[in-house]
Amino acid sequence: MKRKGLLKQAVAILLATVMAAATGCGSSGSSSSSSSAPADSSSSSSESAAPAADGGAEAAADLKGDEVDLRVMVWDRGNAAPGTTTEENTMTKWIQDQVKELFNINVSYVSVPRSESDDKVNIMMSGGSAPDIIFTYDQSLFYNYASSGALKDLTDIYAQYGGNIANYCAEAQEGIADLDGKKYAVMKQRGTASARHTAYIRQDWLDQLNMEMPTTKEELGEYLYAVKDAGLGIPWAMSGRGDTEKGYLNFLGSYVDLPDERTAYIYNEAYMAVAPGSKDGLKQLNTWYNDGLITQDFPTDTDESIMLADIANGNTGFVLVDSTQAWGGTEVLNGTLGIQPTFVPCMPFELPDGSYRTPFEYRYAMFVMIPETTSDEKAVAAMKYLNWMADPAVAVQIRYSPELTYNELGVAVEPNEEEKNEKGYPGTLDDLCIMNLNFDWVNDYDTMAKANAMEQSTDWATEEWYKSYYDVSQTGKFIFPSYAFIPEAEATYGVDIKTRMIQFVYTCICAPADQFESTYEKGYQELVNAGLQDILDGRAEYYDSIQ
Amino acid sequence: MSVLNSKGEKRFQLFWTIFFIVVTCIAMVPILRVLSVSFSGKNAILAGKVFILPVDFTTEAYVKALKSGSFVNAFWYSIFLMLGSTAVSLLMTVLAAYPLSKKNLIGGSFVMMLFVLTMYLSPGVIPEYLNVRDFKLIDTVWALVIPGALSAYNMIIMCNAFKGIDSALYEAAKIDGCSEFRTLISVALPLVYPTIATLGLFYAVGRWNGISDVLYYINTSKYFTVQMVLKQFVESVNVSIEEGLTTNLVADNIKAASIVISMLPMLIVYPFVQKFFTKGIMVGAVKG
Repeated sequence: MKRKGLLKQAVAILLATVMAAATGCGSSGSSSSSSSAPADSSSSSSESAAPAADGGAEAAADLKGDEVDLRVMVWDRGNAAPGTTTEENTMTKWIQDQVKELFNINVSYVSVPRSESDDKVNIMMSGGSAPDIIFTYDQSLFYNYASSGALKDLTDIYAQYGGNIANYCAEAQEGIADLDGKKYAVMKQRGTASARHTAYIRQDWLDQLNMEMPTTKEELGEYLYAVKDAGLGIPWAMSGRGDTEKGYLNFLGSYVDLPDERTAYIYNEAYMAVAPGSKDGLKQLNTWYNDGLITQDFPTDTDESIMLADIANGNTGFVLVDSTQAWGGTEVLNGTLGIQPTFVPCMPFELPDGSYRTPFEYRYAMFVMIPETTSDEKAVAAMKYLNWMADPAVAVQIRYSPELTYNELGVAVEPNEEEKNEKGYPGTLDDLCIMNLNFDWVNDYDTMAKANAMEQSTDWATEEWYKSYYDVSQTGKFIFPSYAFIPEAEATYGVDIKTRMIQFVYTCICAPADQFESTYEKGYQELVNAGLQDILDGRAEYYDSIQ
Repeated sequence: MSVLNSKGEKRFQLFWTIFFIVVTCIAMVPILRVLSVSFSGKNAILAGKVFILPVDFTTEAYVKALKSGSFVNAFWYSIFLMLGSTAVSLLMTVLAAYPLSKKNLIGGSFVMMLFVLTMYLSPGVIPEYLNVRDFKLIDTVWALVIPGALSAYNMIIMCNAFKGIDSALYEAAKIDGCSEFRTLISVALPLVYPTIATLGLFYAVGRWNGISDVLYYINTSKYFTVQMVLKQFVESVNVSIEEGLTTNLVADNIKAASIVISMLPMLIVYPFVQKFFTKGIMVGAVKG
């Protein structure tokens, strides 16, 4: 983490130098009409996918300009099919052929190892050798580039060539990539809108204890104590992951009142543990921990393997995890016990006013950017490429392969590993589909529940179980407000504070009951000293400045 | 006759023998665990039942790992790269160390100082990247061979090994009409082969495990080394957090099988070279 921080700082300093040497070519050689999309480019295109945007084939012909070479970043996850590479396989070939025919663009791919993606992009950006299309999930990296002039201003070319993106990925484009009225990235649109984290409880234990499904924290507490008294296992299994607040976020958040957007912006997920009211939640967790309701020494389970094993072995009665993370363990448990349901989704975290709040994923996925070093002509080509890919009829053929097949529910079926290996498709087709995953069925939860039940390899869950998952995780759906701007203090201390915040919460939970207050005060003061207050003030100040 | 004279010394010896056996066993646990995970069923791994013996024995993970185009390519490519890179490194090291081992080399100490300086002064990632870029080495296999071709540390060890050779041998070679090059090939090198074997292993292990230069300089996946591919497998769980997807997770047994396969070349080579280790580094340490 530290290395990454240093690297980013080094890059920020060097970018200015590199930008000075950046090439600036002439304006676009392509004639153009207003925003449009190509007509369906394959006979096998989706019947359920949305139609192409206005324009059709005639406009597509207009988009075919002079020949342009375009370098596009692609993630390498080490799962290319035999005899292929991440850059050269059946899928990349298909895309290259389509784009060449439609726009006269020669696409080539630049592999970036997935796990080191941001570091690699940083290096290439500072060396002036970045591909013409780059992407990241990291907002601070995007902001760093955008604010230092390292990215192309896409406002005009987006308006001119981004019709499909505006049409089909609209939810994702709302402001997050706009700085000072200029658009510096187009955002990939996520597929299924899902909760960040979901709680699961043992239905069979509830039945055994003659208890109802808890709907409040008090009832949850009663259940946890009952599990402990009955000696069934660990009442609440927690892990000690140091990079995510998933283990406690929904719980602590339920103690926090967010009366307005301003408060919600200031205390988003990263700062929820210090929001007004959250201390009561920490105190409650501390009490439960000291009463033996939470995995003892959970902070040592940093890779969460112990927690996941507790789920699979049925050693625990309650978990709060990433939304679908408990599914694998539950499948094993149901198989072992021969009963179902065991773990079921539940929502016992009521807010002070009795309602619920479940933090959801943003509708945007990653920032897709064009470096300033890319010529204007190539930037236009890049936008055409992205816009083409934003059309669901195209996106679905990339995400699920051009030999698209649908099951009886109208849900596209991804080729299995064997088929991919045989036909030379990459292991993760999603990595080439960089604009749009928002297909017709992905947010139709009835269909999704049916599809999940149909596609599972063992019959570990019923359609109703999946349906209840979607219902429960949708309860109190809440998306925190976000803006492209990052206050200076947050840019400087944000990464450090995030890590410290998680440690602070774990320390408070594990403190001896009589030392909770002093541990909290000491930890909080350390956070303030490390820049927390500056960050919160910076966020408040920014929010007020834009109202 | 035993060299252990007293009871106290025997006890001392026994204590340390047992101590190191215990330490070795503890050190073996993670390797055994990876091995057993690679041969275990998915469910048993998820349930945390696998420790140092496989549960639900299966070779499925190996079959899958060996079917992965990326992994198999990277494996053979890495072996090729390691052999080539080690050969280049040894050549450079010997060619630098041999002249510098000569006392009468004019400017030798100055050149040696320049070498030593590189051990203390590092230009940093980005200047190094710009340098490699300007030499047009980006995205070529040479970017992984040339910048790290010579380690000053290894060169000094090699230099000391050459210095350890009795100067009478050089004189004899000279009287017999050997050129400097012939002296190096026929007289010096055969005498320092333990050092060469040891340094060869250092270079080979460094290349096999090296990952940062691959990350910085290579943009084409066919030039990714096996360690880079492994890293993608191992870190798939961290990546899933920002992606909000669990569909791209790599199964634990496949990760483990890939790790085991990637350890094999080193495990095979190590025992053969190990006997040279102490000898190689110590040659030239004491002169009589």
